[in-house]
Amino acid sequence: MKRVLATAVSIMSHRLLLPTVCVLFLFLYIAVAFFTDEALVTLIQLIGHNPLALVLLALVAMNALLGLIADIRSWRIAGKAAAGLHSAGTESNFYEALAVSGRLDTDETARILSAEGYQVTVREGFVAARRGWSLFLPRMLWRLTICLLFVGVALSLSLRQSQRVPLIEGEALQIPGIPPRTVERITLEDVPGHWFLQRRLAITLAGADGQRDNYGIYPPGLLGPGFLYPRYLAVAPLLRITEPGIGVSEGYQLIMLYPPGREDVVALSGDYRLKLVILTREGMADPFASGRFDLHVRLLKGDQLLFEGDVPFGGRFESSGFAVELLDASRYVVTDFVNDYGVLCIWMACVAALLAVTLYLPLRFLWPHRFMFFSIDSEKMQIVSGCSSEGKSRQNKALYYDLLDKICREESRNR
Amino acid sequence: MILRSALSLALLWGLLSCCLLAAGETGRLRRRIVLAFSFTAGAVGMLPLLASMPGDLPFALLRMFIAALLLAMVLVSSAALLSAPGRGVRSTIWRERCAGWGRKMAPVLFPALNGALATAILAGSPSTSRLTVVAVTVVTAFLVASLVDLLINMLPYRPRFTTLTLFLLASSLLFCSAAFSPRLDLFAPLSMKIMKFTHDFLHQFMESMLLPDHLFINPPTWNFVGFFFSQEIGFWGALLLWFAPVLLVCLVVSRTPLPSVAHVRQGARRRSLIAAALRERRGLLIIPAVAALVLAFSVYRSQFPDVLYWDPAPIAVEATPAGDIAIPLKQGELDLRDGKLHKFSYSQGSTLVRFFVLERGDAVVVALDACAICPPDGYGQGEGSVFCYYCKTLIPLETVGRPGGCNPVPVPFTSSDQTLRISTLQLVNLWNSTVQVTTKNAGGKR
Repeated sequence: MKRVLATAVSIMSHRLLLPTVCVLFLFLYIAVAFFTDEALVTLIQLIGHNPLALVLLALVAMNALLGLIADIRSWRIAGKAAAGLHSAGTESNFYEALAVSGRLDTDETARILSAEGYQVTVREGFVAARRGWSLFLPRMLWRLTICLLFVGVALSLSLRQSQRVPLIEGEALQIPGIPPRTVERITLEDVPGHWFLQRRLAITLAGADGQRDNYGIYPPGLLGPGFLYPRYLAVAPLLRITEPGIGVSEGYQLIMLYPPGREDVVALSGDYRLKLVILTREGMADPFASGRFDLHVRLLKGDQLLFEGDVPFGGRFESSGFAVELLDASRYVVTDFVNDYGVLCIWMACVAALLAVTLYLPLRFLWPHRFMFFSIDSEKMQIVSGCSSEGKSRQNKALYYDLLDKICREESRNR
Repeated sequence: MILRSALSLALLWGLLSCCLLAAGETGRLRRRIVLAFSFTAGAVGMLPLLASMPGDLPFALLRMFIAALLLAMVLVSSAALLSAPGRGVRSTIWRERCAGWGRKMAPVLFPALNGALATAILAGSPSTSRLTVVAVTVVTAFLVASLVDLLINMLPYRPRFTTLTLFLLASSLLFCSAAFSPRLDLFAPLSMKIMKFTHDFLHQFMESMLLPDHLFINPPTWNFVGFFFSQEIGFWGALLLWFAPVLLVCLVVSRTPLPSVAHVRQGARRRSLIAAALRERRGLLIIPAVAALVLAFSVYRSQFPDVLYWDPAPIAVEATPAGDIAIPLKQGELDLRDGKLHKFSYSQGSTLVRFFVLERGDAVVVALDACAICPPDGYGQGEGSVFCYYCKTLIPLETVGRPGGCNPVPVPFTSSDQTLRISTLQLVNLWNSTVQVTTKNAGGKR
């Protein structure tokens, strides 16, 4: 049992697990691409409904977590070794390690290393020196990124639920499982100078108890267990339509006319259709912000155009017995109510990745970590030494070799 | 043009055979025989495929092999980077075992693929005598290989090959050979696939991360995001993937650890050992550099194909009082059934519609000079296919008239009394709806 567990842990913590899983998904993508043009969407659907694929994603997250633990352990061991408190397994932690016969003059070695800009630790028969900053922190953040990213993707693909809800100003909002609210106000205003938005949308929802909550564009606000994700802005004209022989109908039309220039259709009785488009004029105010606009209407029977004309806001257009009146308009926002906690993990992963890269670049190129130590092994009558670096390694090695030369020279001089 | 292609292919084959000969371990004569046999087998083996399979299928199969080779190169060089020396004994054993297999496989795989490519490119056209072309190809290939080998033997410096660099250069030469035929070229379809993937990925990412749509985002941010939806991303992404094996191999070489000299107590000796190791490492970068040049040339070939397309100037037509366009199948020199592309233009107000008529062998087809995906740059006619100028996709003639993908959008028409009739209402509506979508769709397919 112990052996099985050890094998499982060694597989899960293997450094090739992440590339292997990525290659597997790449092959899957290529295979899917042979059958459909929408390969990515199909692949996402396949993974979301396949427990094996989800296990693979979870394995990668576990792999990153185990790597993180292993890194912390080896960092602690390296720290102890640097302080001269721990020597077991020292060799594996260094790029170069060598035991030589010689005499270690700790003070002189410390003086040379200090003169080269190293921070030196001196103990009885032990000298350690380091310079720069370790990449430990960005490495940890990178592992955390991978872990959070794959957890987030697995959660998102398997558990995401999305429901499209129109939020109409002045109307009640009914989402199953959430206390009913009223869409009190929707506003859209320009935000010049914002670093990525050009417009700010504010949606005010009022609860039965009078509590008001405000929702914007980004980051999306939480409504109960889900995010309120505004997708499209729209205006719903209140139309009174008179059809010869049928009568009068009146109501808000939830059609997509915004932004101006977009055309949508209202189906009438028989084969008749009313095509509507917001009239655009030089210098006109944004119809969504102002809530006022004029319409251009076209009545079609099949593909045949019967008539067309303009309907001003509050006005009427009439032809051949048909009449269209634009009485009023309401703003509405087509919103997705998204239940997905994987998003939080992916957001955190993005932040961790950004931090990792921000830390990595200056540390790696400006202040790379360099380390070396020399210690007297009184049992073997040797000087044990090692050096490692995360950049500028040849300078570090050259100094290390020179110090080793000096240690060996001291001994030959003593002889 | 065939002669120029044949000479270029022969030169590429000469280089390929030389690097295979230079990298081989067995006797030189034996290596020559293996190369000759593999090339001939590939060249002759392609003939039954060309004869038995319909249309572009043999070319598609061959291109799939070449694509698999590119993917394998990316994967192998990534694996080499991950299992770089110093990663432990097991990794070293695996690396050496794989290198051994690679060295055994290369003299068979690359000449065979090269032979098949040469046959497909030179004998792919039904108008040429395939057997003669293959025979001439094989003989020329051996003559050129011997000549290039002789010249390279006279060079004072011979670069050192590892299995990885040998595979890199050999596959680069193959990709370059493939770029001589638009039907086998890999770079153009690769950039299309990457464009599609990036577009889909970004779209999915924005939706998954609940990011706002362009309506709310300010222009500088959206322009930045827009780059990833544009046609350039396909080109640059493909370029990155195209050169990825070279970059990875360079990384593998440059990250090869220098020998440990901590035990050497003479500074001068240490420095000379390190200098020798650095020199050797730099020497190993020569082959990736040559491969990069070959790949760059193949990108150039892909972007500017040396193929002439039949692309007649559109003939302006007018509508009858009934609102139809009537085009006689034969009138004077104009014969719509001659198998050539005939382009027409019809103007209504500010809209200028381009369409073409083509006899496809079994039937006459009328289609827009535009597809449902790309901006309307139009089509030219090549051997057995039409060619989308925008995304450089070859559409086999037998599929022209079918909707979907980058196929020209079919136009409904009637044929009576040796005259084609097209409704102008349908034609203009079809053009407007197609062009509106593809012009908005930043960059279309490519």
